[in-house]
Amino acid sequence: MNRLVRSATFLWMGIGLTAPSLAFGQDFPELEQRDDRERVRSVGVVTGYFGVLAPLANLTENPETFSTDVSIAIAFGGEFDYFFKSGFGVGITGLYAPAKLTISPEDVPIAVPPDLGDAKWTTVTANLMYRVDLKGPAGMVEPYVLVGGGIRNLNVDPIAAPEATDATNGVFDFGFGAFTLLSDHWAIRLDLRGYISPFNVEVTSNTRTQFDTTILFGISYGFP
Amino acid sequence: MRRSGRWLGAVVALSLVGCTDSQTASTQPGVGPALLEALSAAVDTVEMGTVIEPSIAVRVVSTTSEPVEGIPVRFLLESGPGRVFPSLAVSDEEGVAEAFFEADGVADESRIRADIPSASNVEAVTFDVLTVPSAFVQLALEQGDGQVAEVESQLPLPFVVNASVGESMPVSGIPIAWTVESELGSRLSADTTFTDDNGRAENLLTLGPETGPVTVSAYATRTTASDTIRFTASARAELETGVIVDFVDPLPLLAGQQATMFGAGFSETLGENEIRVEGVAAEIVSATPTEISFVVPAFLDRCLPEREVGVRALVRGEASNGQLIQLQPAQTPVELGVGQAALLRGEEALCVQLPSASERADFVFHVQSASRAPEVVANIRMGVRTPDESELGAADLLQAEVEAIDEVGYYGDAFGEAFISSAALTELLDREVRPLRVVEPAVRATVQPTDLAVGDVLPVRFAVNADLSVSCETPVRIIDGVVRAVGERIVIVEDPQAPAAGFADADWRLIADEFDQSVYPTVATYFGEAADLDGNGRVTLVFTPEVNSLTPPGGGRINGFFLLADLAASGRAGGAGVPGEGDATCPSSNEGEILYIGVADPTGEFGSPFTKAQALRAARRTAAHELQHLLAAEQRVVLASQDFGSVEESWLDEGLSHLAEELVGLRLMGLPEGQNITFDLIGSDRDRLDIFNIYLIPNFFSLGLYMAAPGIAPVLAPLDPGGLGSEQMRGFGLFFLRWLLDHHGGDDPAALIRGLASGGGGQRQGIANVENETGRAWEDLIAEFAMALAVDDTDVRGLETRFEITTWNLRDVFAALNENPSAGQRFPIPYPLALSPLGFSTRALDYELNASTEAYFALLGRSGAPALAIELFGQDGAALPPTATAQVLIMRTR
Repeated sequence: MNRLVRSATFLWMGIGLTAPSLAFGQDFPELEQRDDRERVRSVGVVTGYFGVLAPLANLTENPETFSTDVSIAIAFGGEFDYFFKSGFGVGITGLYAPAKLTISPEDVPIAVPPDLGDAKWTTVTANLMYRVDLKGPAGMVEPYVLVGGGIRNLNVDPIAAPEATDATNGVFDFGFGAFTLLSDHWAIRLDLRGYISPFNVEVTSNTRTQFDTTILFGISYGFP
Repeated sequence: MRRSGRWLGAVVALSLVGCTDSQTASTQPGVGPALLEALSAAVDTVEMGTVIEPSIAVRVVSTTSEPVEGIPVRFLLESGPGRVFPSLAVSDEEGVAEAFFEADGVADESRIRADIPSASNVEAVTFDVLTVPSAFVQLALEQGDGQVAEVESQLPLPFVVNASVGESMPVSGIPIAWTVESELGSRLSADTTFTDDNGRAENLLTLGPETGPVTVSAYATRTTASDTIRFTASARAELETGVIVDFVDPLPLLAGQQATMFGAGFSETLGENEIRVEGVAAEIVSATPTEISFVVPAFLDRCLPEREVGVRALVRGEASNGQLIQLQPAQTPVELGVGQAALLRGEEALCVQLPSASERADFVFHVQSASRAPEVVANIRMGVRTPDESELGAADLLQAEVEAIDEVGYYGDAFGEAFISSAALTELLDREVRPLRVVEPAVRATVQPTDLAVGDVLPVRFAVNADLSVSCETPVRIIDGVVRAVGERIVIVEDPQAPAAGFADADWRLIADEFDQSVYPTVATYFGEAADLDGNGRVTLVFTPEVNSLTPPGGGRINGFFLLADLAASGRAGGAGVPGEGDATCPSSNEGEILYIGVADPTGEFGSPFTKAQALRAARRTAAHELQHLLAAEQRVVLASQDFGSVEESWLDEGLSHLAEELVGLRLMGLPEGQNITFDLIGSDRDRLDIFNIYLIPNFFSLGLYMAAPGIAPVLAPLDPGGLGSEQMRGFGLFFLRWLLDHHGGDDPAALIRGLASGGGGQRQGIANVENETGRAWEDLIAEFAMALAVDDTDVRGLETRFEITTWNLRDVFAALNENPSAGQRFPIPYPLALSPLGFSTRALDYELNASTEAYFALLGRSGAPALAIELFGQDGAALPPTATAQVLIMRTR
């Protein structure tokens, strides 16, 4: 277990994906060959992610000054899933995106900050997952869907206040993706996910609904 | 309506009634003339030498607005050139009388007055007619055609054309374009010259190295056309002559100084010798067969640079060989090191001589009208002259940046408050009301309560009508204001009719705290303490939608105002009680320190929509602005016991109020004066940026409008001109004062401003006030300030501090605002002040300058650039009138 935690930690940091995992691979029984059609259904999967955060809504709107957007940014993080034999599973995901806060000026005769600085975007979510077991040659691909929730933290620079301030809010997420098995232990993973969360704009006393998306590419290591 | 054929009939009618009694001329017995109606436009134009079309017509009408026939109407040429005929015309059956104006050959303005001599009670009407250059003139050869001279010499005589219109009426100010048509290397002294009062324009030809005939064409150009006329000359290898010029001493020749010509074939008889220098006859002092002493013409009538001139002797009409000799002009050239500047005025400014350059020399200069009279407009034609057709540089055209203003299309929100101030002053002066005087606390016990608390009701008389006039007699409305906040120096009162979506308690508190902690202390330090007429120790800010409703449709907004009438005695029992001398009162006066400010009105119930954020920003800035007006007025009319007429002129009063905004803004941002503030200090700090947006950005906008077109700015307006002019006046006023403060503040800068605000206890206003407080001449101050706008924070080495605005890095701030994604819409130019580049072949530029404004130019000269002369004269070709008060400040920047 300690090794698992260590492995997840390495993945979370986004480094050393290969070497530690290979080392742990020797400690676990190999997954059965796909050709056998007798898959091990209960399995833990550790995934390291790298991808893109793409917010789809303005973060704030203030017709008296300016509106703000969280920029498209690279995202990375990690996930631990445990799938039961029924195909259902649970997963815990952590993602981080070092985004920037950008400005959308309104038609107001004022100067706005030339640089609003960072908007560091972090989520931790727990999801209920369902993995589909495809038969035949397509069995190398395991699609899945997920739905869940957690928290989203947005950390902005003081210059953005009062339009945007640091905030930690609940988040509802959903998505789908697929594993493509490379070997008994290794798989690559494509994951598309949406996040819906509220964001309080203090200066206008409004709560805006945020809709962020991520497109993630992952490398997963599975074990029974 | 065409009436040109009627004048003959009018003359006939006049002849018929000429012997009748004009008192009984009306064909409608018992109906006399009551009014002269102008049927023609108040301002019209006519070409030189032509008769105005249609005629100048008036209608004579009775008290019942019926036309009156048979009334003799007199037409007089009140001022300007031209002729009016007939001088007396009789009204026809439609009551119409008409006359004609014939322009002569001078472009000028003429005023024609029409009146009824027999009815002095009928007000005369006047018409202005502008005589403009003819669309077509006739040109004739007058002198210089057919001359013969040797190659590479100047012809003895200039080519002279005569321009006329009609039956040989000479026309002045017509630009004549000259061109050498042959390709023999010959060149003219100028490519364009202007006709003088006699219609003459001349040019001098210097022959090239090749022999053969040379043809020079001349024709009227720009807005005037003419046939092309041609002069011919002939270049020969040698001139067969018995008159020989060997050399002339000294070299170079000095204009206006004596020189000696050595040679052979001269006459001992003075009168038989003639010496021509650049086509002008020189005065001969003495002569022998081999030597002639002469005085080089001073050429004071022409502003030409150091150059080669042709020198030639003529003995009994026989021309000598010609010599091309360097001539130094009589005017002293301006010799400057990098960073040095020279201020030229009087005759020196009318002809600026720059020497030829042995190294790269760039110059920035402004031509300024230093007039102190706001109504003066100087129409300037600036000629830039090089020795000949210099090959240096292509013609760089003048690039006016005025269009930038149209691109901006936005005027600030200080509009209107000065109209109300003016209206209040007019009302008070008309009623001969005197200001209140400060009285002892015991006497003023009945004025505003000092123990005000939130929720109290305070009646306030509102005296401004919808047309912005001020009603002293009866208030427009009595506002039962509700006290929203009470501070140490402030009471905030809200009109109960204000829209509900207005300021919250936190907003009232913000305004009150900012006023107590920053606005009042800053403004009082720089402009003087309040007189506290109402004895409550506070200034009352009345937030009322009555202010919102005063803004007329269109651009701008009235954010608030201070009303001078509140410093007058109301005459009410229990009022402040001690009016000044005289019994006149202003019952609408609130007898206290009141500022009126608009309220948030998001739905536009009382005018154009005004969001809460907009209203809050405006209120904070307006409080500082109007507080200055209040305190300055009190220093003059209350504390110094002067009349209301002693208040400051609008341009300076507004400048001081905008300075109050800037000073408060700097204090709130925590930025010091004199530290060349760049925008990164502001844009990187949200609190500072918010303050900048409230207190500073409108002022930079106004300065930008001023700098974009300084020549049209009414900077000395005694009354607020409104619109663009108002913005320009305010931008100039504030930053002129900022520059003054940066340089003349000494150890106690606030003392300088306090002195300006009080004007020596109301003794001085406007320019006299500025000169008294600074101890410097206005002409010097505006020249240096104007140059500072052009060169401060550029890379001019060794720039004197007097040419710096040390508190602001204007170039950096404007550039940052231009790049700002929001503000950039209203700051479309990185730096609004444009220097119009002058190429060495630029010949003449016309521009107009309002009093105490300028036009900027840049002159880029590389190594080896020829000498240059810059001449200022009138757009009519005549000398600039003294009222233009032209001065030139020139700085070498590289």
